[in-house]
Parts: sequence; C-alpha cells; structure tokens
Amino acid sequence: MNQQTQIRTDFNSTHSYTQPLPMNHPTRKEKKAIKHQPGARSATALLIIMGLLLSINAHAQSLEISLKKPEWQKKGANHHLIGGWGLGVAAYREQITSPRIYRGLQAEMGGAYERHGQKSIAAYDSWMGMGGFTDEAEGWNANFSGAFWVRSHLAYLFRLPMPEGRWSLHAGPSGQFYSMLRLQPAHGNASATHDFSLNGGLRMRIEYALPSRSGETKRWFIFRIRESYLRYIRLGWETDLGLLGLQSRPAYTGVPNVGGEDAVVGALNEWIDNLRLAGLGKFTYLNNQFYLRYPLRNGNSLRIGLNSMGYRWSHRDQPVAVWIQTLQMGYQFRLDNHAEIR
Amino acid sequence: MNRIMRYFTLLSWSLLLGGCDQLWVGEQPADDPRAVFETLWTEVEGKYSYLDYKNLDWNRVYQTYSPMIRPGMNELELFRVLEAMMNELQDGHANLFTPFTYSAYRPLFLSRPTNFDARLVLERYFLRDSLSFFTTGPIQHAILDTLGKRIGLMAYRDFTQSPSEAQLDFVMDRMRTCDGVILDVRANGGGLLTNTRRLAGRFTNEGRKSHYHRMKMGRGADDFSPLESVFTEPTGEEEHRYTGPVVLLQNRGSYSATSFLAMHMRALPQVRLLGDTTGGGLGIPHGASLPNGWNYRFSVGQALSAELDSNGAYWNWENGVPPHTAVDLDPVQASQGFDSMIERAIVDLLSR
Repeated sequence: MNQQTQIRTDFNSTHSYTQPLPMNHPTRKEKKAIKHQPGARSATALLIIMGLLLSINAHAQSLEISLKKPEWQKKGANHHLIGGWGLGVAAYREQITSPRIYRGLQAEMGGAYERHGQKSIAAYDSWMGMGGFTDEAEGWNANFSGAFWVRSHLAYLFRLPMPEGRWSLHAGPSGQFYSMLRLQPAHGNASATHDFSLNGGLRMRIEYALPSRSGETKRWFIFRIRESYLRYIRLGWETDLGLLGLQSRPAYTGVPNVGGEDAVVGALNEWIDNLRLAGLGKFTYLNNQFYLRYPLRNGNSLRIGLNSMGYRWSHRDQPVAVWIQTLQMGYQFRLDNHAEIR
Repeated sequence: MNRIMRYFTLLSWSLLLGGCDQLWVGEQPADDPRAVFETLWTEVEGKYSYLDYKNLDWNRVYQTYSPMIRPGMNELELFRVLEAMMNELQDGHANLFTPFTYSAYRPLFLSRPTNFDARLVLERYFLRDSLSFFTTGPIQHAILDTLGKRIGLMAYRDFTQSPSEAQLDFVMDRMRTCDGVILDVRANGGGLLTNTRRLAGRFTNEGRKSHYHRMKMGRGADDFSPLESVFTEPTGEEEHRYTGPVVLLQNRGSYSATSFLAMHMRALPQVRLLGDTTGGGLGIPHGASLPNGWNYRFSVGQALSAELDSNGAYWNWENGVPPHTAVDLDPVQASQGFDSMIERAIVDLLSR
C-alpha cells in the first residue's frame, strides 16, 4: 500500500489538505531517453536494487499503517499559536482635555491562541500598541501626544450551520478588555488621561475556504517530479461587539486628586469612583477584522489582517472616542498533527 | 480566486485609507474666534473651583467680553480678549498659552513688595563663612554662628527640582546640630507637591492634620469631591529629622506648592511662619486645549485650612497663607547688608 494519496476533492472531509499527489512516473519518451544515456545500464541496475529496497520498506510501512492510522488522519482539536505585529493609523478625541481630534501613526504587536474543535472555537488574543499623534491645529498651534494601549479578547464560538461547504460561520460570547493611556505634555496636571473598558459581548466569525492548487518540483535521481498540493486559503471576517461592561474615565477635570494625602491612592480611589457599568448604547466597543490565512506545507500559516477597533464612552458629558486601525502580519503555528478542521 | 482577492484588497485599502475614523471620532471642531471664546468661557464656568469664593459673576464676564469677539479678528486680537477674560479670575494658576506668548495674572505679585533680595542672602549670609556653605541638590544651606548659637539657614527656591533622599539626609544631618533653623522659601514659585511633603515631613516625628483638599467633580458650583484630610507625616528616618524650633520665611512669591508647604509647616507646633502672606495658589490647576490648539489652565481644586475662623468655618487661603509674624524686607537695612526678615527670624529662634 502506497502511503501517497490522491488530491482531496471532497470539502467535507476532515483529511489533511496538503497531501501530495502520486508521483509522476517518467513517460515512454523519457524512458527511451534514459536508455540511450551513457551509464544507463548501470543506472538501471541501481534502480532495480533501489526498487527492491523501497518495496521492502513500503511493505513494512503498509503493515504499520494497517495497524495504526497516520497522525494527520486522527480526529482532534487543532491548536494554533499566532504571533504578529502591525502598523496602522489611529485617532482619538478626549473631550476632557481637548475638543480636537488627535490623529497619528501607530504600531502594534501581539499574539493569539486558538483551539479549533469540530463544533466550537476557543480564542484568546492580546495586542499592545503605541502611537504618536497631533491635533492637526493650524501651523504652530499644533499639539502633540503619545499613547499606549492594550486590548485583549477571549471568546468561545459555536459552529453554526451554513448551506455551502466552503463557508463556515461561528458565533458566541466574548470578553473584551481595552485600556489606553494618553500623554499630552501641554496639559500640565491633566497630561495623562486614560480609558478602561472590561466588557462581555458577542463575537461572530465567518470564513471562506478558497481552494488553491500549488506545486513543487523535486528531483528523484535523474527525474524531475512535480508534486501538487491543494491548500485552502482562508478569507475571514470577524467582529466583536461589547454589550455590557465596566468603563472608567479620568476625573471630571482630568486631574487626579494629587493634592490629597497620597497621590497614588487618590488616583486609584478616583479611578474606582469613576468606574461605571454601562450597556450597549451608552458605550460602544467594536473590534473588527478582515483576515487572510495562507497555509504553508508544514501546516503553519502566514496571516495578514486588517483590524479596526472603535471605542466610545461618555461620562459626565465628556465623551472619549478612539479608533485604531492596523494592518497586521503574523505567523500562525499549528501545535498539533490532527486533521485540519474547517 | 483572483476576483475575491481583488475585492478583499480593495476593501482593505479603502478601510485603511478612507475616512473611517470619522465614524468614531467625528470631525475637527470649528476653530474660529467665536468657537474658541465659547469653549474657554464654558470650561471656566463648569470647572473653575473658585467662582463662588471669589464671588465672580461669570455671566457678567460673558456679557463683557462676548461682544469683543468678531469674525476675522486675528490671533493677537483674540489673545488679548481671552487674556483679559482669564485675568478676571485673579488667579496665578489661570493662564492662556499660545506659541507667541502666555497670559498671567501679575498683580498677584506686583501689588506687594518683593521682600526678597537673592544677592543679599547669598553674599551676607550663605557666604559669610564660605566653608559652611553647601548647595545640595536644589537646597542651599549654611550654619550661621550667631551669639554663640548655631542657626541653620536652608533655602529651597524651586519645588520642580527634587533632592534625593540621601541629599535630604545630608542637609537635615547638618540642621540637627543647630539650635534653630530658618527655612527660606521666598520667591519659590512652586512645583511638585511631593517635594513639599518630603520636606515638611523632615520636621516632625508625628503626623498632624495640615489641611483639607477637594476637587471639582461636576458643572455645578458645589460639585466637589468630599473633603479629604491631608496630614503632615514624618518622612525619612528619625535620625535624619529636625524637630527643634523652625522659622519659615515666605513672601508673595511663595506660590502654589510653596503655599502648600506653608500649610504643612503651619501644622507643626515648633514652626513659625514669618514674612508676607504667600501668593496662594492652593487650587490645583488642570490643563486643556481650545479648538484652535491654544492651551490653558486654571484652578480645579481647593485646599482648606485645618484651622477654623471665628465662624467655625475652615479658612480658604487661596489668596495666600498668612504668616504668624508679618515682616517686610527693610530697604534701609538691606542697603547696610542686612536682610531684616532673616534677622527677625534669628531673633525669634534665639528667644525660644
């Protein structure tokens, strides 16, 4: 039994998507050409010996396979570890300290872990970023600012039925954490403002598996062998919406109670005082991502995504609005040898 | 596949480059003179912490200055109108900052004598015995031998500069050898409150209530946070503190954080405040921007004395912490090489 398999065409199968095609044997023309090459006789003898050895080896392997399924055919969850970075643009308006919108460039880095089961996906990701901003005021009136942020998401998504085989749809509850620290040196005691948001919400992910045939040419002795692979490029859209959560804003004037007994304790107390429970409509948190995952032959993937995060919250009629958009590039490691689950 | 990829790429770049941020953050505000004026007036009305204390009718201020705003006025004209409006607050912490200048309420200091001559102090006191004079971080200090008594003289002129703990230890170790200490904070325009606490705490071995503090929390005139007690707590190791008689020298230029220091020191029984009333500035200022990018600040907090007035109310010393002993710098004595305020402080210490 030869362990090389045919191209998989049934999309509902859970078999691996990167198995090689059968070897292309030399054509008659090629065989004729080989015969007339110098040393062809000795090569033929060598081929016969090698063939014998291979057949013994194949026989031994087929015995083993008959007892035990290959690892890649086993059913089980897929585990993915993703690392990446991104560049993009961002904007914010912090109305405690300025009516102007600050816009700038930013960079992010982060990671994610995903467990893909037959019926569900568990996902966690965390990104941290920093950016430089200007309020775009005219000429020398412009002000500058820096900002640092972190956002994390946790979700458990259930597979929902889809009519067509190449589409998959998942949805489920999610938890979101987002916090940003903004530094505006021109604002003296109010030079540091922040957001804090810890929410429960919903996430939805829709993915399309785009088949793509790729080939790789290999040499086998004097032969050039074309191995063909079928891989599924994943195009996806994922959106995460906050429904209910705790939000905190800086003090009404933007200044923590630094005149108090202990500035750190005062600031912490004030942060707690300003913590509010809010529902959708009072606040908005939306994290949106379009992504493309390109599987490699080794089971890992390259990943490119366009992530947009928007946040709005108003406390004491002084709203804050933040928008961060990042073109992310990442590498997705497969941590298991199970069959690919789509 | 190519078609899908094309759509995906197109969508990605349109989201990346398109004005998607406007959906979230909106558009830049109007930055014409009227918008700038209205923003500043509204912010003061909702956040300034001393409108009631100063009995300011902010609506009258609006009626006075609003007609001066006209379309097309240039930046300098606009600045002068806003400067005048800010100075209605009569607050050293009320400033308007532009790239070409900033506004300040100067009568606060100019209405009183300077009561300080830096060269006189340096030449006639610190350098009286140059071997005794040190500049340790931001603190100048010397020990004056007066009628057989050792009087320590410390000067701290800028609370934005922070000494290390070791530097403070060094200074206090010298002061511990003295019979009395003069702490001169004249012309100290303020800085970090933490420095005032660190310094005041070197003169006590037990915590004492210094003052109360509160912050503006909403638009209403009485929307303040609850009063929070603030104590003068011991700082540093006990062997690096001085608890003998102290005189704090202050003048009108002792402003903001220095007024906080005066309140901290006033809470200590062995400390006497001498000189002029401080410049005040006990309202913590915030900082913010106007629609045209100019920046401003004004007081958004209040500090109230732990001491009570004759009506049983806390003193509001926003306009200055009063001295126990009022003394001005005598120009005649100054011309003869004597700082009458330091001389009076020495007499005070020797008499205790």
